[in-house]
Amino acid sequence: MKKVFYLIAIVISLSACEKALFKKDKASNNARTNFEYLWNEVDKKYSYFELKNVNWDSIKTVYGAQISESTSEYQLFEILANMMNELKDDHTNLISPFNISRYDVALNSDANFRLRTIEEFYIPNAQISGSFLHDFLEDEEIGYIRYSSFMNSVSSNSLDYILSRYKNTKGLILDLRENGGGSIINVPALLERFAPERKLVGYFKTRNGENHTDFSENSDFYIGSHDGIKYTKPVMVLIDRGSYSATTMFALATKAFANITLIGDSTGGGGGLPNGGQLPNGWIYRFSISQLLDLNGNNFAEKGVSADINVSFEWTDLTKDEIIERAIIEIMN
Amino acid sequence: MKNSSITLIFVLFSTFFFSQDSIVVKEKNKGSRYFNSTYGLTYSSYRDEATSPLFYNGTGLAFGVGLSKFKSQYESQLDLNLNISANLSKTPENQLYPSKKIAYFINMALHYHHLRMISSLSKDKRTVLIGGTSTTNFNSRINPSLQNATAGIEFLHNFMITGKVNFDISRLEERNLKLWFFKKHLKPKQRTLNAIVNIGLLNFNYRPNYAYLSDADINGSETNWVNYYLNGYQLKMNGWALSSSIEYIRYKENKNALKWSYNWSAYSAPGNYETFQMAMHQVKFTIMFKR
Repeated sequence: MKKVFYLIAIVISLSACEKALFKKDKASNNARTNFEYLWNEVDKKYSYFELKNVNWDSIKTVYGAQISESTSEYQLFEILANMMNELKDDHTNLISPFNISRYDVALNSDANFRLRTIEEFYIPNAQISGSFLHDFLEDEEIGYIRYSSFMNSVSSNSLDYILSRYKNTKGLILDLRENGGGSIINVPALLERFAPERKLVGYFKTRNGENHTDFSENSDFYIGSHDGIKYTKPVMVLIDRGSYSATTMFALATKAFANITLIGDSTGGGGGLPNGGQLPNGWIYRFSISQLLDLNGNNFAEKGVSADINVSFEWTDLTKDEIIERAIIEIMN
Repeated sequence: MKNSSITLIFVLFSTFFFSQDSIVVKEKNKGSRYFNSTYGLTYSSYRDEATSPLFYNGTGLAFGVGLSKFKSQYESQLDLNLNISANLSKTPENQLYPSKKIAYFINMALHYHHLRMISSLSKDKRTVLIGGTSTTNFNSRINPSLQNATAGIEFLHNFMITGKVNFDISRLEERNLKLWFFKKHLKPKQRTLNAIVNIGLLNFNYRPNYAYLSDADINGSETNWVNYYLNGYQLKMNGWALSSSIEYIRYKENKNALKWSYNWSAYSAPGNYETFQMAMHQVKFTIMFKR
């Protein structure tokens, strides 16, 4: 019986040694530890050092010097947030329980969108179908569709209804201004409704090594053509610097389709997909780890996709939206 | 991608192929065969360094079904287990607000072992068995706080060497138990106590390669579902695996049996770049139906 107990004791004691077998617990509130961890994660995985000409080593020197043994959590947040914002990337956030850091690209440019002007003077009786606000313009010659965020689901039923409603129009205006992005699965779900045929529209590549220039092979970015109800007549897509992330991906993909025209200002950028991670103190971070390239392999999407026709909103007359007006002219001509 | 997918499919299903073959062979030589239904509690702990340096610990439920066969010279067992738990990050005490995050951890494990008796080490009341175990773990982790890296999926497959000691602790004669005012008549009972240790020999893992994010969903309806979830995954043979169990089995007069067990398992899967580690402690109750 003694041997039985010895054996049981050995088996149970095995389970107690997992802490010894695992790598050591890295949880820490130490400011320097968290600073080093975040700096290294960005260094190993961020995807736009070269495009933005960021010297990450010198940034470490500048912000590392601000860390001391007495650095408080508030101070640490400020230091880490400022360091991340040196990347000038709206996909970059530091999320603590008491604050979220962000770099708002749209604030670097003039605003080109006023919802009140549209609702009051263009579509006062608009319908809301799923995530879309829409109505006729110009005596039912044009359909106007507002999609405010790629966070909102793109319902197939809603699109079937909307595109059927405007099937006899001369053209559509799809307003994506101030659309800050969201779920990229909604990009093809929406764009394939305006695509006459399946097309290669660009490429993605993701960091895959510790050198800033280490990337995977290009992955093809295809947009299919929807099998059901679609609209392949002229579509004017309205964009501005507030059109970010998934909207930038949408805008870049439209360049492959002759029936789609971008009108307004350049998009805000955000061509890279952000990852997500956690610091040793439990705070959350995210930053871009991939690049979006156009069909020629050009890497400009992070800085914005330019409009085919540049038009600005004139804030002196709030009864008129010059960007919509220009889209109407393009369709009617 | 295609080659690694084929290899992955082989590795994942090798447990099943192996087990099916063994069961067919043993049909020729009937022994005590059971269908097992298992219920229990699990305490899991994991850390995926690709997304966090912190361990996530939590408790949950364990369920399982299985087939087992015992013969005088060998035994085999096939189990499919499901473990579901809610895990909290092991975050250090903050000066301001706590930063604890919750993750939902789902583990499915397919386990098969085939053991042979070592006569030279066995006695009347003690049986020593040695053999092999094949274990496949599929983990699905949902941690909404990790933004675009919310979902974590990995496959771990381990071929292990297994040692088992079976003690026959049956009560062969009737006994009267008298403890102060408590008296009970104890009938003869067939009981066994088992101790099992598994050590990983060949340890495979199929995990994300470097950056922890799939870009495949941009292609929407063009996306192949395998690519959607496993884009950039790589099959690697590295790391280690260890597990152990203590089992107490009491056989009923109707030939069925009841099993109480404590199981521990730990895995480390470095993959290509950043390590995933997990451990599970489980207390289980199994009803063994004689077939």
